[in-house]
Amino acid sequence: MDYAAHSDLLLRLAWWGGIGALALTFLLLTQGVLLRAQLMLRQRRERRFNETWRPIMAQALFEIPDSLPRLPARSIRQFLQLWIHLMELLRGEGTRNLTRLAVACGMDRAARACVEKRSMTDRVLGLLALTHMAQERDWELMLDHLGQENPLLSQIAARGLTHIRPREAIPLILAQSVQRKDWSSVRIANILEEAGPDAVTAPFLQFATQLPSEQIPLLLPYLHTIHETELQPLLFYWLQTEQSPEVLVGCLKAVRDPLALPAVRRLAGHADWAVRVHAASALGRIGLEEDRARLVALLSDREWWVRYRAAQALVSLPGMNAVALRALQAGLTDPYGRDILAQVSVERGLV
Amino acid sequence: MLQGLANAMQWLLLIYFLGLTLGYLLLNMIALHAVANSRASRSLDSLPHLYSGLEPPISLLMPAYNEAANIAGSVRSMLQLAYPEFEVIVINDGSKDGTMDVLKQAFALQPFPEAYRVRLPTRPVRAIYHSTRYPNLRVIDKENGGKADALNAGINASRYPLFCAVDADSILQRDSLQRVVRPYLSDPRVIAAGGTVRIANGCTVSRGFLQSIGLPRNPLVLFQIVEYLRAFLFGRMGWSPINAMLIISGAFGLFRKAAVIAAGGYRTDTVGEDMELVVRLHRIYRQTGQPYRIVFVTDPICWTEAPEDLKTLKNQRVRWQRGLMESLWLNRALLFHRKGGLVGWLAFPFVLIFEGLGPLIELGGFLILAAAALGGAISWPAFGAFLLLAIGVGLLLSASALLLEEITFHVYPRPAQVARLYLAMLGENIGFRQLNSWWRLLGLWRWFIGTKGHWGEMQRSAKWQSDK
Repeated sequence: MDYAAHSDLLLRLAWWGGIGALALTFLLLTQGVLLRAQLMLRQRRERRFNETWRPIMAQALFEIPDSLPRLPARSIRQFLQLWIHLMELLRGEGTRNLTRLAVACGMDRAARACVEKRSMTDRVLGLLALTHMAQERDWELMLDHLGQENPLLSQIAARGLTHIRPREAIPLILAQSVQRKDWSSVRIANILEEAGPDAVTAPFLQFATQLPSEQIPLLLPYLHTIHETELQPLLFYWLQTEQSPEVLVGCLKAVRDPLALPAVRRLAGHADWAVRVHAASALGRIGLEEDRARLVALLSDREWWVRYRAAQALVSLPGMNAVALRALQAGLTDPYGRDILAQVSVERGLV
Repeated sequence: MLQGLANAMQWLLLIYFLGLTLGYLLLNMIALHAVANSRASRSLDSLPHLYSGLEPPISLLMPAYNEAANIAGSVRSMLQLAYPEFEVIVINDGSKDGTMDVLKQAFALQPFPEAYRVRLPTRPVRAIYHSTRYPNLRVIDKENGGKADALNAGINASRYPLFCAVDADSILQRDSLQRVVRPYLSDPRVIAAGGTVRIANGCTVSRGFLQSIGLPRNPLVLFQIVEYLRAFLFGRMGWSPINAMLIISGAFGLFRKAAVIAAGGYRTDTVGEDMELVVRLHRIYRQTGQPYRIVFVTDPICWTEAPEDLKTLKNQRVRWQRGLMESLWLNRALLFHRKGGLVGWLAFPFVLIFEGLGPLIELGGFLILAAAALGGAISWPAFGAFLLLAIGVGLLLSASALLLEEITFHVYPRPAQVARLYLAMLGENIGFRQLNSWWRLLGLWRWFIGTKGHWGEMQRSAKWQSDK
């Protein structure tokens, strides 16, 4: 009796579970079909849009057409996408004409409306479009978005600020960049590169020299965005004063000025092998003939990378040619040093 | 006795299918949420990209064993990838078919006096060559030791901080490296990233790159396409946001070299070296409390050839199941470990029950129910109801994967292709899945009795490949 009751319950559960799963499957398939139909309609609409607007945008690179077709509200997203795409590709007069075209089509208002929408895609497109339009009146809006929790929006806003008032924007961005763990250093480096060294150098140096030691590593990915001549004294200063291997490595990677040679030589004997690797590389760039003995000693380092970079540095030193290299190789007693020098000689085509 | 066993089996099956459905639907929800979150940033993907100069250089490792027919084309396609700085290291794992000769001829290889570092022990390296035509190509010729051993040799010779393990027959998109490296650029905790692998059979491939997307005629491959969608779209897309993804496909995965070396490299005593490494990384990082992320890149960035005949497919599935069980068993300390987090307390037991022991429960359960029905302990309609439940749940999961594909990438452009996938979904759940469960059960058995595994050789048709 108990078995029968159990079996009955189980049977019903299994049966209705199966039927429920099949019904849900049918619903999902129907939704899939509807989505595909929607996609096809959207693609057709996009084709029509492209047929009309691509030639107009191409013409607008040189002159704004006298009359423009009406842009339906449902095509705004597509207009912004195509327009942003061209703006990302182009520089100079063409972008100014395209901006005039967008404003003539009311896209500045549309973009601001997009920024207010709930959809993240709309907000991103709207903000990116305003970034390219670089209108003074959007400064406050960009400033609001710089503090946005969403990293994508805040980084686009950072870019927008540099397009509107670069000199004022850079200090704001640098201050945020050391606070925001969710910002991508690659994106920020791109923004600073785009702003150019003239705009970045002075605020960067001012900011960097006031930064506490523990935050300096956060600025290292952006060293290349400032003028080389201004960068070298900063590196020289950090190489003398900073202790963190991360900072030392960052500085050694960028150092180009022989003024830093004493510090670099000292760091070739650093306890951290990552520092020794980059000190060896730096000696390859700025070292003198008298650094040969120091680099030869590094050929016997216990770390492969130190030996490898030291060998590369050795063959780059002034006065090092195939003959000198062979003589050096013959005089080496350490097999590790000999092997690595042989490898680098072949890599550089010196044998 | 039979009545009691049948009753217990019915409850077990009911709970099993309920757990399976709820688990996968939950993963589906997480995947949908992740898709919605990434939609805004994906809208920027179509914009032109410039290199920032901050992309870390990558060593691409290609183990090759008896790949003479395809190796030159594969290496050429890898050399054409769009990425600022990368090297290609081909590891010839003691091939017997002239793979090394093909490589020497195609790429003008010369012996190279590399100061080779043995950071991971491997079978002896016979020689290292470099290409006089392509400065970023090197070839390691070593004694046969299996794929894991070959990868370890590649890691030893690699020069860059990230390495990408690629199967010699993988077809990558030109921007695959750019896409898979993105998680590393935005989060320094990332130690491994994998991408969606799709099936290339039926597609047109020219000079190692995908030219057009199509579907094969072979129903066996169509079934596998539905299966792959299910595995990648919500299997991995669902686990990744909660940092609990247990596998990165051996066909294409990007790893932080220092993390892999510290973990001991690939294990050579398992057939599932790709999964085992990922589970081990989870275990080590969890146990030591180090912050880390193992992430999944949703874009379809790697295409691979699926088996077209039953024998090859069976071998593959038996191997995969063994690999799965070995990976879990070797890292069983992670299961319910107090520092295990969501991996140890959710993903590990889920994968163990529904993927590891799933075939045993499904097939064993139905065999017992069939015996009970034959013996009169349960009625045939009761047996039918459980069969309906099993097929219904399978169809539901496949349909949700197809829907997710429609929402996200809609890779197959023509409606007729989508219709064929819907039809394939039926076949996949009625017949193929049961056959697959049988093969997986064999894999489970071979793991249990401890049969020694080997790399395995695949019958490749490569009908879709063209050198023109």
